[in-house]
Amino acid sequence: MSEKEFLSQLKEHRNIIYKLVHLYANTEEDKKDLYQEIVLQAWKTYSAFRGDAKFSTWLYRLCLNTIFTIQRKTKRIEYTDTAKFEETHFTASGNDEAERLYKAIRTLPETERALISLHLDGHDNREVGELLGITPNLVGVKLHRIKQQLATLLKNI
Amino acid sequence: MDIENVWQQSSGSDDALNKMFQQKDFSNLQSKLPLNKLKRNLVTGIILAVLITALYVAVIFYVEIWQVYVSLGTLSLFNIFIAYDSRKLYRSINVNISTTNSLKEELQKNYNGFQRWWRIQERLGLFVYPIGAAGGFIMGGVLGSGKPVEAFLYNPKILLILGATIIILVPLCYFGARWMFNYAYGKHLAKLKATIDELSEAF
Repeated sequence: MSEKEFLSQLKEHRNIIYKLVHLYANTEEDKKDLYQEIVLQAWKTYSAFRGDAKFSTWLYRLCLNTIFTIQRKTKRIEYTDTAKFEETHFTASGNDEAERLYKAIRTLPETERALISLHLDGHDNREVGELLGITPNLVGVKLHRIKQQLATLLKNI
Repeated sequence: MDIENVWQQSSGSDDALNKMFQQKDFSNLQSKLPLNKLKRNLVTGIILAVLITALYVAVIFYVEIWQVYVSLGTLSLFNIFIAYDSRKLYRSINVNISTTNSLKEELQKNYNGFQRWWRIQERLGLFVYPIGAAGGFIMGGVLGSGKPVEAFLYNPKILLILGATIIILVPLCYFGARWMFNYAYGKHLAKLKATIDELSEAF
């Protein structure tokens, strides 16, 4: 893949970067650092992309591995029935439902956020397991629990 | 709410991300990955080890005290070993994010890198500090008192002070180094470990 093709693919899939960074960044500084690191790491490693997997799966893996490896400010939003969610800066083109969903997902533990976002983006349990390093069975069990939790959360947001 | 549908339909835009794509040369971007910092620390450590060893060799030629020869000679050998070990670690650390490792493997790679670095620092603390403290004490004492080394060490009080110096300085340096390591990377390592455990446990 040439650099030009790579950049065009990256721009085409920028929504993956955007969505994941907004699930994990706790401050504006975190967000900028994550964007920079993901773009830099993608640029440094794109020559290794052989096209065996979809570009979106490759980018997902790169984003998650970068996000979890970098030092970020820790600020977990704890869920309670009356929790305030103003901390989330996500704006989904005026889509209220998407914003509510993001806010709910951000209250989950970090590995669960990765799991649900991969699932919602259409990756099957085997792919999710491979990306995270867990078995597909565990992915299934965990997803079931997360969806129940999200349903409860969404009623309260 | 059909969460699959809502998620897939959602999109957003961000000036910070758009600006990132407008960069003309991505090689100008600076990586902030902790392993990069660790690699920089390793380079600093190697340079320091070489400089200190050169200083030891100069002192060996200048001071004619055999105990100091033994002490500084041993320290020089340890320094060379640590510089070699650090270089080996430096070469083995790949700071690029893997696009073939799973998240768990990638986190483990990072965690192991830090642990190996700390083991080098531990060896430094346990072997180099006591010899360094003893050598420094004897050299300082002999030069300060103007007595030959045997006469200086003949006094039981001096031997007691030497022992106390080693007992106080070695743990102080060791725990000081551990504190600095924890201060710089402790939270990050705890988080890496917690995530690895989270991914390892059967939910």
